[in-house]
Amino acid sequence: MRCLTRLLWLLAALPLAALAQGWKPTKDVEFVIPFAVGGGADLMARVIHKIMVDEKLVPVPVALVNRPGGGGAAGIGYVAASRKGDPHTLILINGTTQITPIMNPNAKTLTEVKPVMNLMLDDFVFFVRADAPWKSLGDFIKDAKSKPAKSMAFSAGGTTDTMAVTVLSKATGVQYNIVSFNSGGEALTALLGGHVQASMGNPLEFMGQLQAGKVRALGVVRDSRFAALPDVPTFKEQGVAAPNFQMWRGVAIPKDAPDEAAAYWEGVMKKVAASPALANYFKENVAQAAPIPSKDFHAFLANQEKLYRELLGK
Amino acid sequence: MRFAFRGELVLALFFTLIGALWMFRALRMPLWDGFAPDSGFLPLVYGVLLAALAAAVLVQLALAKDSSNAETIRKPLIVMGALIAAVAALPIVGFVISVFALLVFLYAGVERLRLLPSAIAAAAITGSLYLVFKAWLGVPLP
Amino acid sequence: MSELGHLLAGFSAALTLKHLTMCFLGVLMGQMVGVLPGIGPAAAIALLLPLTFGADPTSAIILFAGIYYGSQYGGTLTSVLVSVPGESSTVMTTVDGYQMALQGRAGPALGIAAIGSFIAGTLGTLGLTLLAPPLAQAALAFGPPEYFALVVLGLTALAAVGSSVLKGLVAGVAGLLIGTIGIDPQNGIARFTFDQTWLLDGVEFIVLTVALFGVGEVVASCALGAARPVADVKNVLPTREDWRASRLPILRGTGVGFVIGVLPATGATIASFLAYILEKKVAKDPSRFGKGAIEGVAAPESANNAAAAGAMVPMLSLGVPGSGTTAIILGALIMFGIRPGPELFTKNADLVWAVIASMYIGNVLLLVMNLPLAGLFARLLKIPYRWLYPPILALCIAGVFSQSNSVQDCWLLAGFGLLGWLMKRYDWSMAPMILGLVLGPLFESALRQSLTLSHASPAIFVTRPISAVLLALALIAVTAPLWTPVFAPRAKAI
Repeated sequence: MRCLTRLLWLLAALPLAALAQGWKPTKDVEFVIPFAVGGGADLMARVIHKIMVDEKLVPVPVALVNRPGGGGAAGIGYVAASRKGDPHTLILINGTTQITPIMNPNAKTLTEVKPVMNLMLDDFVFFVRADAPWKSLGDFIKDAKSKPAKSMAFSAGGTTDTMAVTVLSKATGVQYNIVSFNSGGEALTALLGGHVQASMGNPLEFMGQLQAGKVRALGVVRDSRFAALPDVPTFKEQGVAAPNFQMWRGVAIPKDAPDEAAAYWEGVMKKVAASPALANYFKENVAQAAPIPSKDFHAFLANQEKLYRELLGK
Repeated sequence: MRFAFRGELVLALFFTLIGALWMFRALRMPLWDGFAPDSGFLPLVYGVLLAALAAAVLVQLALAKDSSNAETIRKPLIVMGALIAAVAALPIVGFVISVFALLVFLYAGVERLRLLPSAIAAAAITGSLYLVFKAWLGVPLP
Repeated sequence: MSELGHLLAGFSAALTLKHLTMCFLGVLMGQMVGVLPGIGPAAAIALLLPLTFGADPTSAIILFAGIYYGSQYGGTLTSVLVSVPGESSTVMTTVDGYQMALQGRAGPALGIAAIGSFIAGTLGTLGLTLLAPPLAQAALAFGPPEYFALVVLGLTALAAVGSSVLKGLVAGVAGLLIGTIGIDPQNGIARFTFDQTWLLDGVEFIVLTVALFGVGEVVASCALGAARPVADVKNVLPTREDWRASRLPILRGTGVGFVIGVLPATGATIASFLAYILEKKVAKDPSRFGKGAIEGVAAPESANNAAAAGAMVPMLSLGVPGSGTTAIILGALIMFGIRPGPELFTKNADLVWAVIASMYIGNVLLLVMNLPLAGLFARLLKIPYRWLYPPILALCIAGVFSQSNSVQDCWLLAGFGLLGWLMKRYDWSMAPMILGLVLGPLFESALRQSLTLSHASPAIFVTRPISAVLLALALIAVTAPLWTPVFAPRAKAI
């Protein structure tokens, strides 16, 4: 049955691919979000959608469709099966979709799409409670080294947070005790409750606590200071030779869509990236705007893939 | 004693087999990692428990007197079959046609109601579900 | 700090026409999405979110909060009338509520649910008004070992829910086992997906409940279509006797629900389960449960509303979501440029107190809306079953599909529907299976987190006071029948 539908779509898609010269959308566009309604990736897609509609960047209606499941694999699988090569399709992609096939080789994600443009980067910050004895990353590492391995417990709100702790672990040669939680919010609660000594996570979840002085940020895993957190030193500044570690979020179209369509969508996304509405979204979400055009995006993704595999030991 | 179909045995057997399947698959996963159980540990426990408990039910049933009542299973099977057919048709003919067909079949075919009221009711129900889910909530029904 | 002064200011803000309209729209929409299986308050809020950009944040949050607690009222309707739980938190209502409907008591069931919801919602909001910051602080004491002990307490009920202990255990363990399907949240590795991408996220809770309770019930009862008596709608509102029987369950449900709601990792669904179990444990005659006991409707319905209010506690005072829906409301706050966190109560006092005040108003609106509706909808059951069940099946299909827009979920609906029919036919209770699926993932992650924290020493569960007390309660719950064989009524003979 699925083969039949796939065949039908293939037949339907063929003439489209042939006709695409100086491409422009001619029918309704589907913007597929491979994540559940309400998550960070979903909200960003909704903001992008709103900008496309409000600023009339696309001449046809764009419908948002959530196809959640399997760390992005279900949604991308849907695109690969039902909208194969159809350039009237956008897909939101992010670091999680890249990690999924590394962990579960059966799940196919980025190999099934054509990345168009990256839009933002999310940081990882090292937090301790405000009443913790460590004033700097150096203090913490010194203390950790003086104790038996895995004495320091970290709460991590998902695979990417765990990877961030691994970055620290590799750079300092200290083994930490990583406790996995299901969300950044739960990881934060565990830190606030004093169940763990430290936490690594996206600044968004911790921002309210940071401003209220309940937690202290000891470092950020990137090469230069983050403009939104000017007082937080980088790992490198504190003598920890950790690679720049950030999670990306961007937009793709189906793998077999014509290059002209990719160029068209890149043009649209450039306008989206320039919109003040998106800048505002990044500001509120403590994220960094990072428009990476498609020619650099592929190299960037290949780099990330290498780093992720190294961190995950796969 | 003649063969009597006893659905409850099937049910208990099904649970026993599922438990065994989980046991079998979990054994091929890592059971322990560092301080804590790994992916396979609890599934293994659940599998063993389910297989044992369901097997106990199975034995209990086998020993018990056959008390299966003669209530018809023809109609439930037809309704179940219609549901499966409707789900199978979903991606091919879409939500509206398959649900409409399901409703007409149940009303006119299974319940032997007259065709015209059946069709009207089916159309009204399909229409309102379509309106609520597709038009109002924006669900991309197939 | 004078809570009363703030609250009065909040009321004067919430009682303006604009905010009142938002509150009304919110509870109305909540009521509607609550009725539809699959679509829940989280999805409804996320869909509305872009429309509210640029609007007044207070109005928007009043609207979203209204959708959230309104949906807890709405989910009851389909649970009682047609045995299709509209929300995951109304599953337990289905067990006794539907039996009441079959006995012609759909009116009182819906009525007591509305009244219980109102009392619980109001008391919960009162708790939020008076105790939010200290309570949120106290909830932080709940770490992985405490959650583990809480789940163990819940799991002791696996066998207690059904009519046969052994079959209840089988169903419960089967639920735990279904809960292991999908990506292992602890390490990101897929389990029991049989190489199917669509199984990576596991079996959605609402898919299983709609399949077992909705489809299973329809397929089992359609054969009896002619024989099934058309429910006679007797008295529409709860009688004095109903009220007397439900008074304490409502209060206990409120207490359990509020506390469970305040805890960040547990929500309305678990609250409704625990409230139901508690009622069954304290009841003089537990065998009435599952056969239309009004306490079995009153307690979980109160619990889920109190939990919805409770979930606002960590959200407003810590900036930590207490449930999936509050996570989205938090996202909305951020979109409006409001930073959720400990300073919200001081920096954005106007907004916080207007929202809290609107919750009192919204609960009154819901009560006024639901009491007449109870009678009206109860009459729906006068429609002969042969006209009623096909649309129920259609609603199940549409609802399950809308959960994650996936046809595969509809296959699960058919598969588990078949299982549900067999279980129904042979009187295997299905609620333990749902309980297993709800508690399983929390059980596993709490166990693994605790042992990681303690470097593999199980002592962590008994050396921490809260966890030790909860485990002791669980022990008492399991062994109680041994201590008091005289009082424990014998389980129904198989």
